[in-house]
Amino acid sequence: MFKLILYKELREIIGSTKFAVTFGICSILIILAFFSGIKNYQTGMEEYEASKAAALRQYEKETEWTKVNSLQIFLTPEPLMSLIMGISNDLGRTSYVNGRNKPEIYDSNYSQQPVFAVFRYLDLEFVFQVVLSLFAILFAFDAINGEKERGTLRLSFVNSIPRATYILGKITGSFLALALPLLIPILIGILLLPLMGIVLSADEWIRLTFFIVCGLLYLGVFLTLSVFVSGLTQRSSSSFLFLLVIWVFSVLIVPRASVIIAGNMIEVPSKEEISIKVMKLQQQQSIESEQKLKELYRNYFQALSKNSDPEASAREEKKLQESLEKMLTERTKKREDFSSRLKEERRNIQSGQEKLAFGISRISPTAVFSLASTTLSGTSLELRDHYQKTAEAFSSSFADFYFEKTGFNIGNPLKIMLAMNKKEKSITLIDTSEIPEFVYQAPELSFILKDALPDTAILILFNFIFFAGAFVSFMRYDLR
Amino acid sequence: MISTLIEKELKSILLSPKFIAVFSVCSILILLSIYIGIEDYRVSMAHYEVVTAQADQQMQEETSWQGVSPVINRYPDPMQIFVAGVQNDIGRQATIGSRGTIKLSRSHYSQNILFAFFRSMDLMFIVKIVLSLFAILFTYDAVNGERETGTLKLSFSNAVPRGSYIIAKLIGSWLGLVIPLVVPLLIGIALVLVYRIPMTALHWEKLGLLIGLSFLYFSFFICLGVLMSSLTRQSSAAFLYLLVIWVALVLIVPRSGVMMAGQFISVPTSAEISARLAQKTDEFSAQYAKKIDEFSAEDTRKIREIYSDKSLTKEEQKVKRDELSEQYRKNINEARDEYNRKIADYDKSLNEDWRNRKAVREKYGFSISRFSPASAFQLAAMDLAETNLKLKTSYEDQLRIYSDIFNKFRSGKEAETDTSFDIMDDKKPEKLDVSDVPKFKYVNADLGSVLQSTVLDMAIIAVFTILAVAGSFVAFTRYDVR
Repeated sequence: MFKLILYKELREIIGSTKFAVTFGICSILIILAFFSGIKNYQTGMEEYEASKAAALRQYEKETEWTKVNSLQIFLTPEPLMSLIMGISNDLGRTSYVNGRNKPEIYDSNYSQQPVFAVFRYLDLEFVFQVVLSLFAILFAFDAINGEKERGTLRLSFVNSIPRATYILGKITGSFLALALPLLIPILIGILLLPLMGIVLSADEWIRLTFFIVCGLLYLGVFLTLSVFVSGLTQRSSSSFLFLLVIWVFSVLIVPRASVIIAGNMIEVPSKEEISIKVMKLQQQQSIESEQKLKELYRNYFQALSKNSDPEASAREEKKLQESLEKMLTERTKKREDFSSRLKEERRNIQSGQEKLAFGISRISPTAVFSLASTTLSGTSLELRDHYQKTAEAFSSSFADFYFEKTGFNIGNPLKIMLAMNKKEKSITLIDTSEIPEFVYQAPELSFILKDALPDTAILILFNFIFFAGAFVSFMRYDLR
Repeated sequence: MISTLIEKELKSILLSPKFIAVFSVCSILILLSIYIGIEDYRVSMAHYEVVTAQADQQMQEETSWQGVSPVINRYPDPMQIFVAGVQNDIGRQATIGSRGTIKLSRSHYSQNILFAFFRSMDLMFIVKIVLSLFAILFTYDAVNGERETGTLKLSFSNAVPRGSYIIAKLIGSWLGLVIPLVVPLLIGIALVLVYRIPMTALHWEKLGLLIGLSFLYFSFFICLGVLMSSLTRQSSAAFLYLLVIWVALVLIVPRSGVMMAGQFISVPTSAEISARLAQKTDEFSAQYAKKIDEFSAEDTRKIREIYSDKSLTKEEQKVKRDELSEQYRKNINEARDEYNRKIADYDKSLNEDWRNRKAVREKYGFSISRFSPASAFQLAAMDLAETNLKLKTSYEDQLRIYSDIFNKFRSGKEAETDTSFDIMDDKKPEKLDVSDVPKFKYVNADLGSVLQSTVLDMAIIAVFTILAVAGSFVAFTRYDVR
């Protein structure tokens, strides 16, 4: 009996004009999302390589490693980032590392190319989130009350069909009729990846598969919800209206409102405020340093005037250098500690704000899907934290490289001055290929999957709740 | 006859349960969007005031004119309440350095990435997405729905001219849907007044135009609904087609246009531009350093001459030495100014070229996007609110002018001040008097130029609407009412 209902539902949906039109549109959109994602990735890679080369070109004419005291690094594009963009275009893509200060990430794609920010990109997440959810409603809003309006529901129950089997067959049939055909454009899209020269790692394939599973679960949420609402209402026009209002709230309103609520409840100090505070400290330090510098030099000259033999001069010079170095190290450390403390405080408040916003937003399946899919593609807020950490780690390895090449730490003005003024200057150009290369790598697969698990579980829970709702509402449904 | 038909249409819309649900949702959304916009604006203003005060305070602590680099923050505009546009995506701070290179950095979204995750919800967004969808929902069965229920046949059993009937349908639907929206909009405007948002006459004019534009856009979807309803026999088919058209016009075409332009027209990256500037700066630096060396050598030679000239008394030697020092400082300042000017000029030309290439891409991207009235509406709304792409370039242009003024002022001040560093001098440096430092004020475009930039998009929506009205008229005159 179940099979019969399932076949009937499948036949009914697949044979309808509605299916032909929506399937056509969805297929075009999915393939377009894959195609434009691949193209964006290729453009992103070209830009990345050009930017990297341009950054290195600055040092091509240098003969002294002392000049290579900072390096511009760039966020390495990843294929999944182009397919499911998340915050990757809003996040800064570049940073200067100098081995001393924490790198600050800036210049997001949207800030540099605001033309793309006007309408945003068409990625897979958008297609699933907005278009497919709307079409899922369109397929199932009259699943029960539509049959009642047409009189086919009464006709079906003239036979001895258990209601449970009927609703199960209806939901399964609708889901299969929607999900299975969608797999065709998805597979074509996936096929485009190797055809257009995109090589995904095993981890990336697994992440993409999980994304598709999440997408289907998300479709399931709207499908079961539609059947549920259809079972609660007598007229299909009413159920469609209710569903459209729910869709507007779930897709467009709740996610945005949650962020706004969290933003109003928890205030995060801006980065500009922090940097001005740090600059103020730096200003204060400069005034203090000037006094200290004068004192050190005065002592040095006084000592020289008392004893001018070469050995004593060398001793005094060494003493002066040590004092200057100590002063500089202390000054930098104090500023770095102050800045780190402020940033840490900001980060903690911001983290609380983000948790609150996402917590509220999770009442919307769309937000849950968005969080799960961006986590899987590595374009969630974790991208910011991971990129920052990777940049910091690279910064310290760059400092080691600088020390290895020059024999002193970056930012030691005295040593730099001495190196610059040395009589025997190198005439050989430095080999820029020796400069360490920064490559961003996404977190490990286990970490990503662990992160995406709660949201995937919530999607399953939504499916379960709406399925149960549809089941119960149909059990009590007046078939007449 | 028309008035009776309009009245009938109005009644059927206003008394339907659909209207109550949709009207309530739209009202809540419109009010919510305006309220959120007001809150965002207040937060932006508070942020602006804090950051500006801190920057001013920092400047007041300076002891040397060389260290004075004003930090300019982008001033929030009340129109962002209604149309956020790209104002959250572009930088909101720039530092006026001695080199005159200007770059707005630190966008709201890049600094507060959480807000970028789901983006903002402004009035423009509600009108563009939600109201257009609801306009379809009300009109998809305007004609074929009446045929299905049999009322169309009934109506035409009387001597009703088809032309009058379809015009009455359009006017009735328009009045039934647009007039109720005026209520939440007026409440929203009242909120702006209650929260004392500093709206100038120009802002009110722009808001009036924005509301007019929104109604025009909304009218297009009403007419499109009636058109599709007159073209199809079944209301379910009309709705399906309308939904597909809506998805294409509102969600797909705008994005595709810009993405296509992005693929076809390549623009150098910001890093490439920075690297070119850095390379040129190195070149100018070397020239500057060479000049400084020459001045120093010349200065040393002349000092030696003064002290070796036995005919001069000690006082005369001192006078000559002072004159020489003054000349040396003047030369150094001139060389530095020239160095800074060269960098600023190069930066300007580099940016101009970059901007032109970007403009070409924008032009093509937006031209393709304008096949959709939704894009035309968004672009016109952003132009009206001045939260469009010009915001960045216009700010940076005005900052460049300010940078020239400021740097001249600073050079003058530096020339007046003794900047020599004497190790033996134990005097504590004094704070500067920065009260007369020129202030930056961003000048908005006037209504004339704002209108000029929106007129094309307004015309596009008007043409689309006229076509939909004409289409409805033609389709209905041929419609089989049975």
